[in-house]
Amino acid sequence: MRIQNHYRSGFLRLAMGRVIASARRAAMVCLVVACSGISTTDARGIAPLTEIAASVQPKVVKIYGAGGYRRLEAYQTGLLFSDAGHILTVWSYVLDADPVVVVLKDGRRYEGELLGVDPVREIAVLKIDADNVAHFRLEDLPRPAPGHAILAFVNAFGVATGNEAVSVLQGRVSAITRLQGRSGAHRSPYRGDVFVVDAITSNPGAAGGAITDSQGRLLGMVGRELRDAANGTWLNYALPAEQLSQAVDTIVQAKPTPDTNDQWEPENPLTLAALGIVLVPDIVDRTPPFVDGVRPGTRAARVGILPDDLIVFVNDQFVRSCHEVVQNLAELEAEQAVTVSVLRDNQLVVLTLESPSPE
Amino acid sequence: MTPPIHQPTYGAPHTQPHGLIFVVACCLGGFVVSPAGAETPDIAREDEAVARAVQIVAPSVVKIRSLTGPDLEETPVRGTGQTSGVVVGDDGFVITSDFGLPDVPASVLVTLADGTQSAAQIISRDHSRHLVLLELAIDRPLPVPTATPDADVRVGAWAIAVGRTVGEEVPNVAVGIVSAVDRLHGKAIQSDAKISPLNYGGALTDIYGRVLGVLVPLAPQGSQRMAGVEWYDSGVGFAIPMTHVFQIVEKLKAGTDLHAGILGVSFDSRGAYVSAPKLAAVLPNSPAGEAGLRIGDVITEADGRPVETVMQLRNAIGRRYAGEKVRLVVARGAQQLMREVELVDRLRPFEHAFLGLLPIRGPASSSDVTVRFVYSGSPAEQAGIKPGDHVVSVNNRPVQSIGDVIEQLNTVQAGDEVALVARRGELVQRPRLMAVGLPAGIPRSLPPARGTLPERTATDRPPVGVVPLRLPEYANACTLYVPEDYDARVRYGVVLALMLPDQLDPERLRNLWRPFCDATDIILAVPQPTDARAWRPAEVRLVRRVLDHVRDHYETDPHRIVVHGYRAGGAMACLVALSSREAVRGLSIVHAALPDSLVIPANDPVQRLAVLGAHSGEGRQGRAIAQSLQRFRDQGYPVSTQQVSDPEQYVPQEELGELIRWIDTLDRF
Repeated sequence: MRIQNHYRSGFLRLAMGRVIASARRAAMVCLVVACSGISTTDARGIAPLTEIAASVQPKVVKIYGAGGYRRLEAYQTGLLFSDAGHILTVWSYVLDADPVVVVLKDGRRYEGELLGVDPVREIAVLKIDADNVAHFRLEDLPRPAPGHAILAFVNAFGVATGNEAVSVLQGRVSAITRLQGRSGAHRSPYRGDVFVVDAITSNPGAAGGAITDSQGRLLGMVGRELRDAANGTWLNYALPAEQLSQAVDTIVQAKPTPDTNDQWEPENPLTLAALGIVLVPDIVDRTPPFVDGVRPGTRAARVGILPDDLIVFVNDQFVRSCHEVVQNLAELEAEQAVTVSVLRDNQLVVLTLESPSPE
Repeated sequence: MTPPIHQPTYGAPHTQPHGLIFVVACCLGGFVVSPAGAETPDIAREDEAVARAVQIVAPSVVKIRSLTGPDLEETPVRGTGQTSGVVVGDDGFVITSDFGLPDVPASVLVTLADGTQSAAQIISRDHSRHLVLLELAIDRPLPVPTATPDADVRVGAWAIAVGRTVGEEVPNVAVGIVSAVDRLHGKAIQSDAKISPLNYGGALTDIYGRVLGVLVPLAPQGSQRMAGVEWYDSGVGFAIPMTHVFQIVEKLKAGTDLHAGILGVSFDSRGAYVSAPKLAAVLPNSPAGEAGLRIGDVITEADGRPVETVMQLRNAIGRRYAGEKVRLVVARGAQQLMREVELVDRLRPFEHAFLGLLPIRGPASSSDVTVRFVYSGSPAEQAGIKPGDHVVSVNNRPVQSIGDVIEQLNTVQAGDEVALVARRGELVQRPRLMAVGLPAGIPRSLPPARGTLPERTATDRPPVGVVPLRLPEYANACTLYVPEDYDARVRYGVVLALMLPDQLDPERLRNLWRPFCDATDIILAVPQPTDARAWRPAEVRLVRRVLDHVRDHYETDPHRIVVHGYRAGGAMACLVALSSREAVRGLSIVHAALPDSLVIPANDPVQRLAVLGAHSGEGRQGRAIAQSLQRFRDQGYPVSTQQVSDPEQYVPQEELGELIRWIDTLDRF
């Protein structure tokens, strides 16, 4: 924008004329100016990234505790969610120390008290004796979609110490999907939705960090390092903020909340025998669920399931093994109708086994 | 379609208030007037642009699951049959990468963008680009995406990796830029978007929703199946250009598998980035061989493009398929030849030609090839060649040393006709021999390799007898045995004996070998590992250094450099032999099987290697050793075996004599 030099004769008279003529425009301009507040934002209210980062950094803390042996780092990240100093972080061995040290962005050190943990989501809440600290809000949470830009605030590799701010990464939401994670041979207990991002957040010390949208609003918390159960790649993922909020309810307010994996258990679970299906012997780890035989006069026989059919879906749930078929059926009541999709001669055949007729 | 335009955020509304109003407004603040605002990306508009591009390409990106078929267990990152694909034919054809689709034809299930499921068949593969074509059992047309034209694939442009491996209704997304084009010998586009099992097989898309390429696991080096997977999420990822995929799709639809094209030549492997592509070997049954190319020819042009280095030639050929024709311009001396060759997908392993003769080992200065011994039943014997005959020329090329003969024979194979000219006194014979393969058998007795020499005149000699060797850079101990009557006019074979001191005492080994070394002109070197319990692969360099030392200080015979490994030293001996092909000509292993992971390269015409395996033939170890030796045979190497019944004992005297005779015949032709 060029500020033009209007110091010419006759300017003022011209300008005064314009003022009256553009009264409406002037009002609009002033309104815009008033709305934009004291920070430098453009007309749409979007602040530059440098300012966003600066406003988020004080809400992210560095946590130090147990570890420091071989690959077990003794540090991780956390995020403040109340002005009284409540902190969300991952539940890990780092918190097995006494004391757990929390360092704010400006270098102030506190001892963190472990208030409680959510073992399913593997989240912990700490409390420090601080007042009026900048913090994230766990209400009015935005819901991002794949493709949206995100920022990650993590103390990866413990680079930041003392009064240094944690590292900022930029990326996008890759997908919103169910977590299938494992650590060595153990499956992660949380199986709900997570955000997968394309910023590399799977690094030592990053767990507990904050994922925000491009305006600094909290989207989620970086989870502990896990490999994808399906293909072994390191997962860059975050637990969504609403999961954090539920975890806080469980811990801080001691409100009993149901396990996210709580399933309604049927009184009389459906079995293969009830349907009349016999699968091939389940001898290897993941035997594909081929039908070995169908007993005459049963629901399966009536609907036309044949030997050598390969079961691929049970009620829209993809099944890869005999074990998964049994598991999926066990979530249904014996009297329920169930839709089964099978692969027969390279064609997909969808069959609905109706409720058994009443006696 | 108008592309989203990235506008710098100078802030301010576009209506410019005039004069006083403007000045007043500025004073109240609130406008981003400085250029600093232009540095911050306009995130909301970028989000919109990315979302729009993904929306355009999404209907063509599918989820693929393979149902039956083995899991590949080799690396921590494995394919377990869940991957993405891109529609390439509206009649139901989908392209994907070979990640997650094992070789065994698996039942494949495809989920389309709208949630429809369909069974699919694997139709064909492009092995050079890691692509697989599937055909779906579907009766409605599928949306085929637009490919980004080649001219629009520009470094620095947006590149969005779109997959449906984890995304169900909405594809999963990773964003980056185009880092480079024409990578991997011109086969791939490189991007820094996070490319991983989450999106292999999916579409690398530009900001307009057109497909730049299909994402595949490729690595900067190495073409094994899983090589590229180790580079997931690294910032270095690759996609095969969609324009190329559309070019080959008709062939793939017809069920044709595509393979990388091979020319059939080899170069001196040193200096591939600087030295000119001068042929060190031309395989006779290869495209190059059939086109009449010869050793020493220099390729100057490939398909109209000048090539000045070996790497440039590899770049030109690396992208071509078997069955395609390449126009080469070749310089032969002052001549310039033009040849059109058709590339093939594999070459028959090279089998060296054998006529049935052993040469007399004259002093280094002699310019004569005299026959020392004729193998019984060989083509030479049938043609009437006798010991004492002088070989004058091979295939019309005059020969003055065994080296010349070997160089000529490296250009032909077993089964080829070889023209020989041999002189016996006044009689000159010109037989045409049908060469056979190198023999597995070892002659029972041999005449001496050389006559006695006249009295030695030179007085100073390098150390002889038992010589302790200390190399400055290595802590390892090493002893040499040099025959007491060492004479610089004789060329000595070198045997590097590798074993663990507990399994065989070096002094005992020396005492066993001493008489043989004296009789057949062999220098024995016995290096020791630093850790008495095991050899470490890094110690290959030490062994190499010992060999270099011996060659520098003594007169050695390049045809009889042998690595000899006993039990735990056997794997080490293989490593040394296979990594020193330009020097080592014989590999002798006793009671040692090869590690399965050891890759045996194909037999090379110029870098000969003969293999002798001694084992008991029984039990699990015997079978494992037999399998290892068969792996060498499959690659075209001449393999001999010896029966040594006790796996705990070193080679007994009689078999040791046979082993020595095998070494003594390594200059056979």
